[in-house]
Amino acid sequence: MTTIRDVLFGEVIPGPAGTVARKVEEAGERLAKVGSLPRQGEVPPVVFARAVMTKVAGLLNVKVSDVLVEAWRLRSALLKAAHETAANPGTYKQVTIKNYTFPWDHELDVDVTWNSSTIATVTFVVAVTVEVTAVAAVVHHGHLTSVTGGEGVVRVVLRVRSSKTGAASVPLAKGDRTFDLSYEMKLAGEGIPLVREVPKAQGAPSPT
Amino acid sequence: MSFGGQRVHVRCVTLRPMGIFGRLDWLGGSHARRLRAVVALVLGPLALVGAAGAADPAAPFELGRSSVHRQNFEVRPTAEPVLFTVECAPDEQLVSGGYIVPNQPVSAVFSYPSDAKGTPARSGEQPRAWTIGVTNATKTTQVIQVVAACLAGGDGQSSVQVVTETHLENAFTMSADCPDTTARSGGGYSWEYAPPKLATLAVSGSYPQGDRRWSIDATTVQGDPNAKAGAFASAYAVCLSGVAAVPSLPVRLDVLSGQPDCSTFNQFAACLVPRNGVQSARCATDQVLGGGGHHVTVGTLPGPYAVRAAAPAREGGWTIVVGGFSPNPDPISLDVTALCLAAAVVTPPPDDRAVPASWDWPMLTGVGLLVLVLLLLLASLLALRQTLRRQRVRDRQVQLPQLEVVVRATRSAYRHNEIREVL
Repeated sequence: MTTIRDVLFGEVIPGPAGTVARKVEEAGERLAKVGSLPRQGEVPPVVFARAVMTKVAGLLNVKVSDVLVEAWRLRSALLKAAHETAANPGTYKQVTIKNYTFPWDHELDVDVTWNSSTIATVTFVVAVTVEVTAVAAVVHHGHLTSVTGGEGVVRVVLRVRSSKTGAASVPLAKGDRTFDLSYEMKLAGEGIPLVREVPKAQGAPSPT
Repeated sequence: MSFGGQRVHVRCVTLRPMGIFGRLDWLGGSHARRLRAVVALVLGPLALVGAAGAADPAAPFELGRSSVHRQNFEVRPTAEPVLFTVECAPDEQLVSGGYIVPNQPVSAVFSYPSDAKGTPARSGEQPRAWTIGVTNATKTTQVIQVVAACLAGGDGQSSVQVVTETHLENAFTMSADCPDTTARSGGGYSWEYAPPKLATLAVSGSYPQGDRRWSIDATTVQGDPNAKAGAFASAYAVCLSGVAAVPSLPVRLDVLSGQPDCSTFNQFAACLVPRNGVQSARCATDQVLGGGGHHVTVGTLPGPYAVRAAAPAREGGWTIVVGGFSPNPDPISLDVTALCLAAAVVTPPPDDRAVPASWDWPMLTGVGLLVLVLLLLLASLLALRQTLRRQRVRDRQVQLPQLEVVVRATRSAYRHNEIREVL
């Protein structure tokens, strides 16, 4: 499964050894140059920056498919079909989407502490843009039960914002990747619910 | 080693520096252990120096000072010997004794070491007094003097060796010997008075012989011509541990002759030559007079109990006074000998804990410097250890994970107006 971290820094397993670490370190060096992290005695800012970037990279292990589905739940033809099928149990809706594009912003406020005192507070802004094309999906009883075709592109930019940068943010890393939507979407069982509350299907076994 | 023909021994003084450890307990666990270690480090070499000092052959022995006790007694007329005793002080050691009696017919027939009641000391016992037996053939009370020679404030301890024998001969010599570890400081004699079953004895000589022997020369006194009784006599040697008793060179006493008394009032109806003589044998100034003796070398004493005085003189020295009558002016000579006690030392007991008190100062200085160097080395090691410990603590503090990245908040948002969908 493609994650935001994979797009920014690369995948750990299939990539060359040390690639991810190198990219994280490069981002850290860029972060150090921003000047948001002060020197502490003999400890240079880059030491703090590497540590911060390592932490942030770990927090960006978010699946692109989860971001996409959440967007579909906000506004999409699939959401409309889900409501309809939920209202009419036993019905199926096939939805074809030629193109679906949305942006997603994710921010992290991070405190850097040294000897239990905070030396810097920075905000990381992750700007994600996802575009999928040629998707054929089936919706049943409010759930996405099948996805056929579909090619996606995800673009991610990581920026940093702090008191040093003011309102502006400084890019630290960016990446883009195409993905096969049918591969990314795992639709086991009833599929993925698209509506919050789905009426119980008739004849369906009640939970015990 | 030898000391004037006497064996001299070495005495040890016990030194236990480790006893200080018992006073360090108040310091408590680790401090006390560290201080003990330091004290052991310092005192250990000193103890070794003390051990090295063992090579020093002798340490001064406290001989003590002469303490002569004299007491006069009145002696009523008696043919049977009456005993008179003079004691040493409780903390003193008896070394010898003697007597002074007036001219004949008052006679000192016994002179021996005893207990406070006059009972003759037995072999191995510590004598406390000197006793003499006196007869008074006069019809008036006579005054005699008994002398006990003692040592005060010394480290030695006296004991007695007694030899008792039965003799049938008219003249004999018998002796008592002191043990090897002691020195002979005096001697005496006694005999069983039980006439006519036993013969009456007269001791003409009582003197030191050899290194540790005390001898007496005795003869039977003519009494009942029909009696042929034997004598039951004892010779005493007073032995003192821890001292060297050195006999002085014998001093010759030539008994002088007076004008013969040939008066018809003489009970023997013959001429009698009065004989008198006095001589003293002295010790060196650095010696202490113990006892003394006399030995007839020429002629025969002018009477069976002609030795009127055998005692330490007030002027110093062992004094012999001879007085009596001889049928002729033939030469009579005696050797008078004093027994002089010298400062000596005792043999070290086989005690592993003992450390001699004699110090080898050059070696002590050297070892003191060595101890100083060891202490400086120890202080340096302790300082280095402290520095290294601080450095380790500092390093550990640097390596501690004091850097922390804390995520305060996360926000996510879709820009709804930018969602595009083409069906």
